[in-house]
Order: sequence, then structure tokens, then C-alpha cells
Amino acid sequence: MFQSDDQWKYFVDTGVWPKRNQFAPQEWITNFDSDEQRFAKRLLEKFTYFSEDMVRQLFKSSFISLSKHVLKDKNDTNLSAREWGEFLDNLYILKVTGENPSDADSGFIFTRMSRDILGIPESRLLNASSFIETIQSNPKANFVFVDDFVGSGNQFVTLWNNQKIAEDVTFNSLYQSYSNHRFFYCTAICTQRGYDHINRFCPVEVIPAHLYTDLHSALNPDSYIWRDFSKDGPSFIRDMSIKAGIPELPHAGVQVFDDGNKIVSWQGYLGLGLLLGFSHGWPDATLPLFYHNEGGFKPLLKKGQL
Amino acid sequence: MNNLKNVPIYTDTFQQAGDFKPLDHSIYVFGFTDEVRSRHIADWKSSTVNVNFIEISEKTNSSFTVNGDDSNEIFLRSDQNLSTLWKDVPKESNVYIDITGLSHSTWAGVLKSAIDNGYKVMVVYVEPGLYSRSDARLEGQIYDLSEKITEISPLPGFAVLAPKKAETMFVPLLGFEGTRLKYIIEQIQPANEHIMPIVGLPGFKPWYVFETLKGNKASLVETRAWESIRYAPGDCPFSCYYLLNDVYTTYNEQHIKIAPIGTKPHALAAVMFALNHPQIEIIYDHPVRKSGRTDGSSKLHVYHVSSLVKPNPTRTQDFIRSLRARRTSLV
Amino acid sequence: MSNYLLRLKKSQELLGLYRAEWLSSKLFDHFNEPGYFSELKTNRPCVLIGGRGTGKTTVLKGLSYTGQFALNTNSQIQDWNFIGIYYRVNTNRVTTFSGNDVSLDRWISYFSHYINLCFCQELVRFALWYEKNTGEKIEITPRKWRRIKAVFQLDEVIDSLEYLEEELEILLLEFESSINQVVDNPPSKITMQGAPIDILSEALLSGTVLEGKQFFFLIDEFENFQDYQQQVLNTLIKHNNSFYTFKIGVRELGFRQKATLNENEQLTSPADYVRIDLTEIFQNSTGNKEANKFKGFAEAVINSRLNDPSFFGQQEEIRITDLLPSLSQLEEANLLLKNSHLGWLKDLEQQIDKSLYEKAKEIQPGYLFFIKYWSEKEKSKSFTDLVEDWLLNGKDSWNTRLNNHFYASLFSIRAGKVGIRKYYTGWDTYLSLANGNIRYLLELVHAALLEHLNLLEESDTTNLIPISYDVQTNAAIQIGRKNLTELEGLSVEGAKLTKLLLSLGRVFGLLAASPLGHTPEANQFQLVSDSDPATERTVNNILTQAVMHLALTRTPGSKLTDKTDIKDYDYMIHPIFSPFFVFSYRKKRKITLQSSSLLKLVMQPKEGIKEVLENSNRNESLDFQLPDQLQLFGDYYE
Repeated sequence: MFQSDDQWKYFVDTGVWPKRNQFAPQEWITNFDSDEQRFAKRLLEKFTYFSEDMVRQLFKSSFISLSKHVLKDKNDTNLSAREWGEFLDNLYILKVTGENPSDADSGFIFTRMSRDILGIPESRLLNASSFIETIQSNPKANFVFVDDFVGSGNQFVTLWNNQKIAEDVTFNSLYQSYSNHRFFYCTAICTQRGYDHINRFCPVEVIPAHLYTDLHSALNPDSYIWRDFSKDGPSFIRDMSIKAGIPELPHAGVQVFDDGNKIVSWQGYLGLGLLLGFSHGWPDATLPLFYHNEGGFKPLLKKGQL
Repeated sequence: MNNLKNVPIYTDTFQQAGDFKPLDHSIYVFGFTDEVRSRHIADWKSSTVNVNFIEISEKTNSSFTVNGDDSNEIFLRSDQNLSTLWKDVPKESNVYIDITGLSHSTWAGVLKSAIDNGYKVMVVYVEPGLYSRSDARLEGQIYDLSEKITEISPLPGFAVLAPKKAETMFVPLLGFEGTRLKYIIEQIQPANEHIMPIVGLPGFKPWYVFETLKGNKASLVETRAWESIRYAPGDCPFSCYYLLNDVYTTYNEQHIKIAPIGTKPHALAAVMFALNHPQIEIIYDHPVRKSGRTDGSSKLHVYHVSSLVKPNPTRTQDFIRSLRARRTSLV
Repeated sequence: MSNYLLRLKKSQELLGLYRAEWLSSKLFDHFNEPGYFSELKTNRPCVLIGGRGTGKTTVLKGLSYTGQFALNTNSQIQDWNFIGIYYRVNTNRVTTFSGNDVSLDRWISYFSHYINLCFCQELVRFALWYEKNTGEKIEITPRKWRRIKAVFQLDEVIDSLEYLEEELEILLLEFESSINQVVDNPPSKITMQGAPIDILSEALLSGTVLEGKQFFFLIDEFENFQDYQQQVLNTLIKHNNSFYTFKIGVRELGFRQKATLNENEQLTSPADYVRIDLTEIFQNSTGNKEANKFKGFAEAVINSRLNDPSFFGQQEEIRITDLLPSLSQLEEANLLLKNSHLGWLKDLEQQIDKSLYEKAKEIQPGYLFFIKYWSEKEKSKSFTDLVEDWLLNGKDSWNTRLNNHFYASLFSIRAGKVGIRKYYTGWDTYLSLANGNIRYLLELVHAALLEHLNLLEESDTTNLIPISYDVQTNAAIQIGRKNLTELEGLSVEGAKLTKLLLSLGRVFGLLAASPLGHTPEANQFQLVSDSDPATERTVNNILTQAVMHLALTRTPGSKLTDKTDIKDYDYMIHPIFSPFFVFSYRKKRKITLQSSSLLKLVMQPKEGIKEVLENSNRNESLDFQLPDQLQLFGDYYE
């Protein structure tokens, strides 16, 4: 018991994990009895919580690895320098928004990161109208969408194909007319499913810092989470979730209410079953068992209280 | 924006080892291991045209033999010995050095030789699939170093005996094994405020960064070096190189010591950096390879090292000459 | 926060800085005392033996010219008798000179040349420093410059120290370059063993402003040299040159090679060098007046921190002895018992007559416990009988038994229970735990103060509140644990040492917890050979490493010479670990251990522990629950 405490304290003291008002392992563990705690501790050990510093690094590395996709002859230093320089000079940033774009979208955070960490000038952070103008006027322009997390990929595919960015104009329709431009999607984390989905429906190259495959799902008994530990992990999650009152929704979906609240099925959205959190929040794909806070259940993940 | 222009990544990444093949008429140097990660080489042998495969068997810490010929021991501290690898290889050839199955001492020497002989050098590395048992040390678990390392000693051919600068800046490239870091810190005794650890992020797997931080907890806490941690992708020698460059320019009054005890791509960065800058000291504990450490394989990377490291066979003599020149100009 | 607490807080922070300047000067003053380490300042070679934290490095650095300059603001550089040149043996440099690509003979000559260059470089650096700091010039005659040029085989004439400094730098670089290509391009212009050092030191000292002085080469961490390298240095030491001598810092058993390059020639003490063993000198055994010096020194050091005049003006003095009160044995027994003696009294009530019972109720709980303890030993007499005996004959009649057994019995009071099982309190105890190691002592005080301050945080006391017994004990346990986990990284064999301690510690802890009917306070061991040469060598190696890295201490016998077998000592786990494993730190009785058992303790802990316990007539079924602090290592014992 005190071995874990020491470790948790170490993570908090060194800034890897945030303070208790945002991330509370000691409280969360009390939701479980002594037999169950073995599994709960395992989940905590395997939880990937990315602090602000880490998110910045993930984002930066995803962006810089664009060069791998852009440079044609990596043996030629001079040519590469020119190519990369020209690419950067004609690079524009786009944010990924939901159906009802709002400033609270995490995409917004990332466009700001493009400016702050990468030094991309404000003028190259585009909105809908400046995008249309750019793609029409700059033949060398290339575009990068930025985001923190891609789950199913539906959000992006919808954005690309269906979102009206002007009268009768979508990203896709513009792309068809100006198809010599390249589109990239730089994201800190992307699931395999989302990656495949976007690749299938959009001419966009997805560049994640981390790809979360089936091996990362807590619902997969062979995942790294349960490997060499127990095959009963997924059942533990199901049983505890039901016990806590987290519902099972059809197709492991999400239900959003008018007042903005939402419920996520116990498996995490679409059964992705992830153990993932960021300093700025967590995706629906993360298991609700970590943030459920009703009926006396104490959450691990909390929105920071001020 | 300017700083981004200086950090291109000269890497080709293939999701599966099988997706890559060495170019025709090239040289492919490698070391065989019993791990699955070496299997791709056997596959290629049948399907490539005129690729000269050179298999290295490590004999001692400072020598190896090639293609099973035990009678010909090649010493790492001999440019002439090493050059025999390239006998009859035309000047503009592509040389691949697969470091996956080679120890740091060996591939560093071979790399230096290939670069200084003017070839287009590409380093190949296959990521491990999964470690077959957790290499991350649990607190309370006693980690038997002597099963793992020998003493610290320089990589053959890379010794630094007389650094000009008095103060040290210690840059450990961290892996999972905190005891190795502890031991090295105990041996070289850097000042706490002059320790700058580099941690792989993104790591090969998302949770590796946490394993690294956990594994090195004792040293990081005692020295408070966690306050100075910097990140570089675990699979990218170029990012790590640029980071080292950053440290070097910021702390140019100090003598840099790098301990490549993390990923091999990071170790590659350290060696590349040492080849491009004078008096970079590499501190290494020469682990004994344990069989069956990993199972499965993952992505394959081809690092175009020649784009960043240019031939410089007279690097030390040049440095000495610059010192003499500086002296005469002061007189 | 009150001033008092603020002062404590500041002291505590400073005490945590083991390598701090203020400590260096205090330590150095201590070593400087006349008659104490006076041999260090003579012109004879000295070998200073001590582990990590004994102050060895501080002393050597203090003797160096930069150290002397910083410490001795009173004297003039020109008046110094000796000039200390500090040189720490750097493993990553000296291991360069090994490998099968070169023969040993050639390594010897390359390494000798390297040492020549390094030492000469340091001499020149000093000379330039001297000129700069005194304004005096060291005049070297042209004839001497020619000799210098010749010995280094330089191309050009040199006539200035600056020039020489740069040439040496270049020589080293060229040497480095050729070592990196040692097969193709072996080093040329190799200098002969010691020759350049002789010539340069003479040039600097003879007929110059430095006339009459001597260079001390202060070589720290001598154990880092390879064997043949130690022989090279030994040759220089034996050399006996009036211009320079050596003061060597080495860990115990780190001076592996006593021969010079001539196998038949050995360095011996006191003929060739003065041997100063810090552990012997500082060991806290009674009747050793040097040990009292350490106590006085340690007290002075810590009290000076507690009362530094820079802290918020002068107020009443805080003394470490006031902050660390100790429990007497009786008080401790009373505390550990926590009223469990009441049950015995109740039983007694039925057994004896009323007036005796009233008197019995007044017996100190600790003594009552001891009577009960004794009754379990003496099968012939019952508890009641013995109580009566006590009451009728008086406590004094029990004095012999108390003197021999009371302390040991304390360990059994809370054996197997949760929480503190034995107290380790008081300044004297801390001194004993540290066993002459100033670093351990500072760690203990620092940890105790830290916890004490945490507890006092809320209060705003202006009075001196001593550190509680619990906090003192927990700090001692914590420091034991800290040093145990650090052991791993100290040497390549570190894990074996950790395992040795975990096993031995458990053994002695169990022996302590069940002392009844056995020799009290058995916490030392003597080794007996019982295996083949290869196994004996392995055991020897483990013991050597254990002593070197302070996992074990050993008692030097009176008949020791340098050739004494490592087995003819009495060994003990270093006292710093005794609170962690819960046994006595006092050097008392010993058990015998076979070599094979010792090896088993490392390689197969469970069987090893069982075997050793059985040999001491303890049953493994006496296996109590591990003390709380050992739970972390629970898997190890399973």
C-alpha cells in the first residue's frame, strides 16, 4: 500500500501528475474493497496521464515529424533544407471543431500551441474564410489540422466532408478543386480505428505522436494493461461500472442532453476503453469509471476546482 | 519559426520491418541476435539484388569478426582494420548499418569508419515489440547490476582524456533501469544542478515515459534533477541530437558528458554529436546482453545520418591545430 | 512561525547539505588538530583509509592549494610548507587503458606516460596560480627549461609556464588521439615513468621562490585504478623523491595491490607509508579516546549550525543534546510495554498475599516485565516466586542479571507487533549508529529535524521542544532504509550487498527478538571456511565489497598485519542499519557463519536464513511478522 503512495506522491511532487483537486488516486481507490483494489491499482499504474509539459512535447514531436513526410531525398542535406524551409514558409494551421464550434474546443488550445511552441505567426492560424482565401491564392500552401485526440475519427470525417465552411463549400469540395495541396492532421493521440477511418474517407495524412491500438484498451484482456496480471481485468471494469451506476448505452455510445451534460457508456465511447487523460481534460473514449462522480462514487479525474 | 527550420528529421519509418528493403548495390552491416527483430534480414537476403551483407560477431569489448571468419579479428581502435569492411566498395555507395543487434561499442566504431570513408550512411533500427518481462524496476525489487553491466569505460575510439573545460554538465539519456543511472552518478559525481536528464517522449509505447520516470525515481529525487528533465522522441536520434546541441550551446563553458543508457536511437544521437563536436565524453556501462529480452518486433526506422554528420577523419588533429593557431595569434 | 522554529528550520536545511562549504572548513579544522592527523602534513607518503562519508575527500581537498587558500585566511601562501595537488581518479579515463588490442606491458608504459602528463599539467597549473596570487615569479633557469623540453621531446624551445601549459595540453590531446587509434597509431614520445614529474618539480622548487616546499599529490579514490595501475603509482610512491610525496585516499580494502612494478617489491606500512585508518580511529568504542574526539567534533559541528549568529540575532543556545533526549533502558521498557504488565499484575493478585501485592504494584513495569521474562528462562521458579524474590531481596540482588540481560530483553517486548518495536533515541545512540561517519550522523539529525519541524508546523512554540522518541526512532529507521537502497548503485556488486544485508539483517533481527535462552545481543559474526577455493573466492569478494561500501564493519584484531586473511576478523552489519532491522548496535557477542551459509544468504535467501537460524538454535517457526519497514521487501523473504 505505502509503496504506491510513495510513487503517487513522487509523480505529484515532480509535476507528472497534477494536484488532488484534479487527479485523486487516494480517493478513487477507496471506492473499491480490498480484493478489488488490486485491479484498481493496476489501472492506476497503467494510466497514461499527460501533463501540460508532456502534451506540449507530444504536439511538438508530431509536428516536427512532418518533415519525414515532406523531404524527398533525405540524403541530400541542401535539398532537404530548402524543401523543409519552403514547406514551413507555406504552412497554415487549421483547427478541428465540433458541429458547434466553440472557443472551448481543445482544437483552439492547439492552434495557440502552434503559435507559442512552434512560433508559427498568428497570420497563419486560419479560420474558414482565411482558409478559402489562402487555398485559392497560394499554390504552395499546405495545411495542418491540429488536435489533441482522435477517437473514432467521425468528428474529423464529418468536418471534412460535411461541414459548411461557406455557402456550398466544404473542405472536401475545395480540395477537389485544388488537389495539389497537402493536408495533414497532427494530433497528440490517435486511435487505430480513427486513423483507419480518416485514411479511408479523407485525403489527409494523420500524424499522431502516439497511436493507441487494441493493445491499449482496458477491455482487451491481452492489452498491455492486463498482460502478465490477469485475464479478468475487463470483467472487473464492467462489474465495477455497473455497481457504480454507470449505464450501458447501445453501441457503447454517448448521450448528450440539452443542458450540455452527457453520459458515456461504461465501456468508453465506442468501446475504446482507454486509460487516458490530459492536463486539459479527457476524451469520451476514456473509461467513465475514472470520472464518474455520482451516488457517492469518488472520481479520479476531476475538472480543476477554483 | 526560424528554429523549426533547423530541425528537420531525416528519417524514413516503416510500420513493419518487411515493408523496407535495402537499395540494390548497397552494403548492409548488421549483428545477428536471437531476437525476432533480426529475422527480417534473412528475408531480404533472398529478395535483394547485389546487396553485400556483412554479419558482425562481437568478440570482445574492442573487437569483432565478420561473416564467421574467426581468423580475422577487427579491432575497433584501428581505422585500418575497420576500413577493411569497405574494401572494394565504390565511393558513392549506400551503406546501411543495422544497430538493432549490435552493442554501442561496435556500431559506434563502424559508423565512424563508414562516415569518415565518405559513404552515404543510413542507420537502421527495428523497435522492439514488447519487452518479454517488465524491464522496469519495481521499487523494493533488487536489481542485479552485475548480471547487466561491466564497468564504465569509453566506447573504443571515443575516449576523452583531457577536456579543456573544468566543470561538467551531465546529460543522461534515460532508460528504465534506474540502478544504472545511480551507478553512473556515483562514479562520475556531477553537481546536482549540472544534471540534465533526457527522457524519451513519445516513447516506443505511450506508457514507457512513466516507466522511465518511475524507474529512475531514486536518483531523480535525490539530485532534484527531475526539475531539469527535457523530452525527445525515443525513436528519433535527430530530435535528440538537436536537443543535445541546444544544451551544448547554452552551456558552452562546460564539459559535456553524455550517458546513453536509454534507447538506441538516443545513443545514436550521442555518437553523432560526438562525431561533430570535439571533446564530447560518452559514459557507458557496457551491459551484457541477455537473450530473449524482447519478443516481437515493431516499426523499422532508417536514419539518414550522413545528412547531419559529415566525414571528418582528421577531427582531433584539426582541433589541435586550432588550439595551436589560437595560441600563435595571442602571442 | 516563531523565531525558535525558524532557527531550527534553517539549521535543518543546512544540515542536509553534506558537501557544503561550512562543513568542509569545520571538518578540515578537526583533522587539522595537532597530534591528531599530524602525519598528513609530514613529508612521508600517507594512505588515508575510509569509506564514503568519513570525511576523506574533504580532508584531501582541504590540503590542496585551493583548499588551503580558502581555509587559511591567516597565513601567506609564501609561508606554506607543502603544496597540495588534488587529483581524483576518474574511472572513465583510467579504464581507457585496457583491452586485448594492446599487451599489458604497453598499457603500463602508456598509462605511466598519461600519469606523467596529468601530474605535470597540475604542477604547471599550480605554478601559474601561484604567480597570479602572489605576484611573485617562479624563475626557471634556461638549463632547466632545456631539460623539460628534452623529457617531453618537444619540438620547440619553451621558456614560459604559459607555453608549457599549452604544450602539455596538446601533448595530452595527441596522446588521446593516438590511444583512440592505438592499434594503427600507437602513442609516440612516451616519457619514462616519473621522469617528467621529477624534472618539473625540481625545476619549480629548487632555487626558486618555492625553495624548501614540497608537493603533495593528493590522490583520491585510489580504488578506481586497475590493479596494474596501482602498481604504477606504488612505484612512484616508493620512489622517495624529496620534491614530492603522496597522500592517498582509498576505501577500505581498495588498496588491492601493494607491489610496485617489480613484483618482489612491496609497499609496507610504516616503512614506506603511514597508514591512517579513519574507521579505526573514529570507532565509537569505550576506552578509545579518539572516539570521544569524534563525539566532541560532531557536537561542535551541529551545535554551530543550530546557533549560527546569522539566524535572527543571538538568543539562548540550542544544543543538540537537548534536542535529542534519550530513554534509559527502564524508561524504554516502560514505554514499550504500554501497560501490558497490568495483566500480569492481575494474575499475581491471586497468587501472593495482600501486603506483598501492594508492594508488587509499585515495581516499575519494566522491571516487572524483566522478572516475567526471567521466569520463562528459569523453569524451576515461577513468576510469583521471582516477584517475591525481588521484593524480599531487593533489586540490587538482581543487578548482575539486569546488567547482562535487560538490554537484550527489550527487543522481545514488542517482537512481532505493528509499529515501533525498539527505540533508538538520544545523541549518544545517534553517534553509535553513525559509527564515526559524519555523513550518516548528519543524515540522521537532518531527518529527525525534518519530521520534527513538520509536526511542529501548526504550533507556534517559543520553547525548546525536544524531538520525540518516536520521531528519533523513525528517522533512524528511514536513514537505514535510505542507505540500504543506495547500496545497489555503489558498485557493480551492489545488489549482492543489498541481498546480503537483507538476509543477515533479518537473521540478526530474529535473533534479537527471541533472546531468551540464548547469548544475549549476538550481532557479530565470524567466518569459517568450509567450501572449495572458487566459492571461498566468491565469498571473499563479497566480504571485501561489503566492507568497502560500509555494508559491514569489521573489528581489527591486535595481531593484524597487511597480510591477515580477510576471514580473521569479526564482522558486524554497519550500525546504521540496526534500527531498520531491529537489533542492537552495541558490539557484543558473535555467532559463527560458514562460507557456504554466507553465500546462500545472498543466492538463496530463504534457505540461507533458515540454515543460519537453525545453526543458532532458532526455529524458523519463530518467524514473526516482518517489521513494518521491511514490508517493502516482503517478496524477498517469501
